[in-house]
Amino acid sequence: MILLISTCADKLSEAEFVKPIKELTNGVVKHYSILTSDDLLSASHVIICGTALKDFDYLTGDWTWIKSFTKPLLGICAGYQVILKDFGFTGSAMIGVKKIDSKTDLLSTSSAYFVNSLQCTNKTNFNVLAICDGIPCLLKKGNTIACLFHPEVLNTELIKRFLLL
Amino acid sequence: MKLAVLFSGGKDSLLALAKAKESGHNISCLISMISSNDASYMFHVPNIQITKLQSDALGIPLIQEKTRGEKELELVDLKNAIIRAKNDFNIEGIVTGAIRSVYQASRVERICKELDLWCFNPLWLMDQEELLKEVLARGFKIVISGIFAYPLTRDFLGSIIDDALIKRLVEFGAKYRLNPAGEGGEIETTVLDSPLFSKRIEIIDSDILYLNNAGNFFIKKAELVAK
Repeated sequence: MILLISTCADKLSEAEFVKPIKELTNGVVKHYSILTSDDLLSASHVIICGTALKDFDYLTGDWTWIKSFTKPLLGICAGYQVILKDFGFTGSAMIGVKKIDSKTDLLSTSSAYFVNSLQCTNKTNFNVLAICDGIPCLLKKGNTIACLFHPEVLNTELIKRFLLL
Repeated sequence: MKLAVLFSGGKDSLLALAKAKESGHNISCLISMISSNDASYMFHVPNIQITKLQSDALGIPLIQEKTRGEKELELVDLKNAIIRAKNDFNIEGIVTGAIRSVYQASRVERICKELDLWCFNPLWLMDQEELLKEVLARGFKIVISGIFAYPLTRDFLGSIIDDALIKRLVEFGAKYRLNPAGEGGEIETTVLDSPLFSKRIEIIDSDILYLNNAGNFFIKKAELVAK
């Protein structure tokens, strides 16, 4: 089972940030605020989806499980932020299609769609797989991938290849 | 949350409005940009004046803002209209009918960020055949008011969207890489009725201008009538 974790404070945002991922993966959606250890145990792959630019409620959620989670985990935008939040952020809005420099087989495209206002610093212990304007936008450690852009828009190959992990 | 809908009068903006309402939001006003540029990058042009009748039928106030429709400069006009909505209606966010245009979506996102507003795109990446079927299932009466791509011909202009027309559009989509719901600007629509309207729009006088797979169905005179 593919588990999709919604980070959206407002249900209306799920149509934009969760439904497109659900259609690509046929995953089961659960909101982060009601996530249980059984949900995580029964999943083969987990995707933490993004949310609206003005939404930061998810940062106060309980994400401690991520550190000990060993199954394939993909964090998109808000998901990137909860995976990397211990390393600190810089905060300036990145909105729109931007060129990315990547060195990974997970991607076969050279541009991506960004809608975010918090980016990680270069001081993480993750491998940086792609950068955009000097900002690490795709990072990996073990089976955990943090993706700052929205691959469901221009880089669906990333999601398909993640599901093969 | 009090929201404004960027409202062109076409099927996508009305569907976005319906979804926002169903999510429990209060639609405080509609914002329509009246562009004098037929080739605007941002705004729907044919029959945009009909938004006044639609606003009356919906019972939702309308902000109309004129723009010359020049690339990027039209965003200043859009921002001014959103500022008006913020000042006059205390809106907390914007709803758009964007489906796949990263050009439009990113520009509205930027304005919302600058004005500290939420931005909702409830149709984002929606399958276009699914969208056409949904608006029909919801009881929207939609007329095709513009066509701008091969192999669309004059007979589409002024046609009401029904199952048979959706089938043709989907077939064209598969054969000619045309977006069946017109997200690439191939088709423009105007909604004449929906369950959200207290009255329906009746077209009194219209005209068609068509040349080489491009044209408009102009609604010259219309009025609200009882359902």
